[in-house]
Amino acid sequence: MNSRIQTTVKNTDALRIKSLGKSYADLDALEPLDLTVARGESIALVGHNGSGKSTLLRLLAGLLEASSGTARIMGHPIGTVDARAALSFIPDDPVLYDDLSVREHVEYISRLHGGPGCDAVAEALIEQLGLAHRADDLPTRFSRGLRQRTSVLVAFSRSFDVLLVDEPFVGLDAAGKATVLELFKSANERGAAVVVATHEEQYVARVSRCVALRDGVLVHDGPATPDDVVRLVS
Amino acid sequence: MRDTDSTAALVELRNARKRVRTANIDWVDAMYRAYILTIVGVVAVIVASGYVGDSEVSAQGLVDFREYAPAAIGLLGAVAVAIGLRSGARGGPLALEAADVRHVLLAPIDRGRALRGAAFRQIRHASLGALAVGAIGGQLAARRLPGNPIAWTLCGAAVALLAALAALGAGYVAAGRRWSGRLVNPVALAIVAWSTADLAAATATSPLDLLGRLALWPLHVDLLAIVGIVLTLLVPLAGIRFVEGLSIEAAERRSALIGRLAFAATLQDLRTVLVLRRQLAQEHARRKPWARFVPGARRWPVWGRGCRGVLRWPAVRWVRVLVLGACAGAATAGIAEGTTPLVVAAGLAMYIAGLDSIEPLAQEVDHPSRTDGFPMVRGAVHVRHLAVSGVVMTVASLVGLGIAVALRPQMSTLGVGAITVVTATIGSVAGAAISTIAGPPDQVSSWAIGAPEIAGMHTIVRLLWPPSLCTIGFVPVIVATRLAADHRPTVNSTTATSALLVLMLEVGMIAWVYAREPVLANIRASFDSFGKAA
Repeated sequence: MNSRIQTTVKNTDALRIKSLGKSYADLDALEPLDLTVARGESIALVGHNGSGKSTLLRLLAGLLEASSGTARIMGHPIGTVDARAALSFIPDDPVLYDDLSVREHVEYISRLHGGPGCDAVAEALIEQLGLAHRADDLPTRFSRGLRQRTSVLVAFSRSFDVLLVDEPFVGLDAAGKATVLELFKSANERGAAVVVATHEEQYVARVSRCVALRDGVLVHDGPATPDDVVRLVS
Repeated sequence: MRDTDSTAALVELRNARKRVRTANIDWVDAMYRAYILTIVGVVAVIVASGYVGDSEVSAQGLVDFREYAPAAIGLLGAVAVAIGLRSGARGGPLALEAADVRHVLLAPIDRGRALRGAAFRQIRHASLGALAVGAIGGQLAARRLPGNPIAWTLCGAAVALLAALAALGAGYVAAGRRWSGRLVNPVALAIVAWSTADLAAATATSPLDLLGRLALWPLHVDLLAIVGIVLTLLVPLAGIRFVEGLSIEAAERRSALIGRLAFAATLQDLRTVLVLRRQLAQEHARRKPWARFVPGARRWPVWGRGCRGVLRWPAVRWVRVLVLGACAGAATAGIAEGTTPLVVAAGLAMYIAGLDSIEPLAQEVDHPSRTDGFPMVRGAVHVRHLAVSGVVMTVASLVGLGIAVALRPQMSTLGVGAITVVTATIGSVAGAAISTIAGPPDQVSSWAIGAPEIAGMHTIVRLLWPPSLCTIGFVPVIVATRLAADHRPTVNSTTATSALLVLMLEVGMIAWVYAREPVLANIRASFDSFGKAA
């Protein structure tokens, strides 16, 4: 197993959201919503463009400030040190350092989270994501797909209880998608909650719960087939 | 996991990255830059010295200086602090690397430790710049004022340093405490107003004015300055204390924009700089326009489109344009009083306002493929967009005229001002238009890859011509001032002739906006055919 999952808190929901909302001056990006995600649960977050998926994920990651409501990650309020330690976020736009190689990214991020750095587990993860031959290259010279793989690598090279992922399959080839799906699956099996904003059929077919947003409003929370997803996002 | 481990990792990696950056520096290039910077600095000091002169001030001048200088210096400091506060309300003045926001600030480490390092680096850079500027100011003061030149230099440097620290500190406090614009703007205004009132009353009561007293220590050691020093130093200390409260949302937005802003500035891409600066200030078009009815919109669609854009301006942009118009008016009053160099300030104010007013045209220039589909030549569309800009700038110029008349209530001010409203308005529109349609310099044009002397000259002309055109709009004021000095009527045939010549030049520039593309295409075709023949 290549990813690092921490299971520090027992008997606590991985994610507990109460009336969490985000509005800008004249736009409600996300109407207040309630949501609970159990540990080890896997969720597909779907919705059309501008429905509020990224806003919800970025609120939970602490990158946006909520206009209303609260959210807890493993029982800790979002933005606190404990919540940051428990949560790993893969954004839709890979944000990487211009002057660090792939391996240096892993070393840095892992150690920032109190990990061992780029050890054998991390090296195996690099291999699994097909980055071994580019591990000493700068990601600035990478294609979109390789940058996305690096972003996934960075997210998995540290410990977490909750994984939030925004459109992870954009730019990935079939092999890359399969690897990333495998990583999500293994994260679930180790007890981490995984929330992925995607319409990717392979992922949607695998999860038992689908959360759909439309114009910032929660319109569905429960099982859904890929056909249901098409209906929900249209 | 221990926080100390993570912090140690952060420090270790930052040091490693610093070592890599230092190792990658091209020292020859760095020395060349330092050499150019030194030459520019020396030239600037010599030019400034020329304006200051060498003769010692008169006794009355010295009395006036003692009376007004602390408040004037304090006002400069107050403006710096106000800018810092406004920047803080938008998440500044720290500009973090985007990856640092995502990875370091979201890591389970003390944000205070992560942010203080960046704050100290920014303070270090700003302090060096402030020390240099303050020392030069002190040197220039020592040329005309009694007292030890070294003392003037040291005091100048100290005051500039403390003002810079206060400005940065105020920004950190505002950002860390998440003060909004609604809170910060009145506070910033009050700070500037206090110092302005002090200047008008020839007193020095505000904390920054007390700091201004330090600048005059070579003349007279005023112990009240120590109060100013202590109060000023408290601000950066509070800033460092509170900086950890910085909003991650604001930091992320800022980090993305600042990088692009710096890149655009490097490429001299003024339009991109303006657009990014507006995004940084979150200056968005209003969803609901100030008014919906636009007269003539059906008959003249370009005019209608421009009006609709202007009617969606946020209030802050209207205020900025009108304040710039007022500044130009105040500078014009100064020119009439004999301070001719203020013409540069007036021209620059109108140029900046003009760049705001030209927004509808700039939007067309940003997307040339749109105008390709219009059933008319592109130059015609561009020129028609200038009408709206002209209306906006007329309003700004009239505000300027009002300020000039208020500062110098004479019939001659009104007469010359009325003429200048026309020349300055058209000049600002023309200057902003040619700057916008020219776009950023083409890095691979024949000019850019030609001999360095020619390429350099071309760059300077491109950069300076648009604001110069705005400045030329104030020539009638200079002519009238000269006439007044000769005890002749200020509004006469000489003034009218000068205004007419200026107008001809400005209209010529607007004609260039119309004809630019076909003329340049013809020139290129001629060069190509010449090349083939050769």
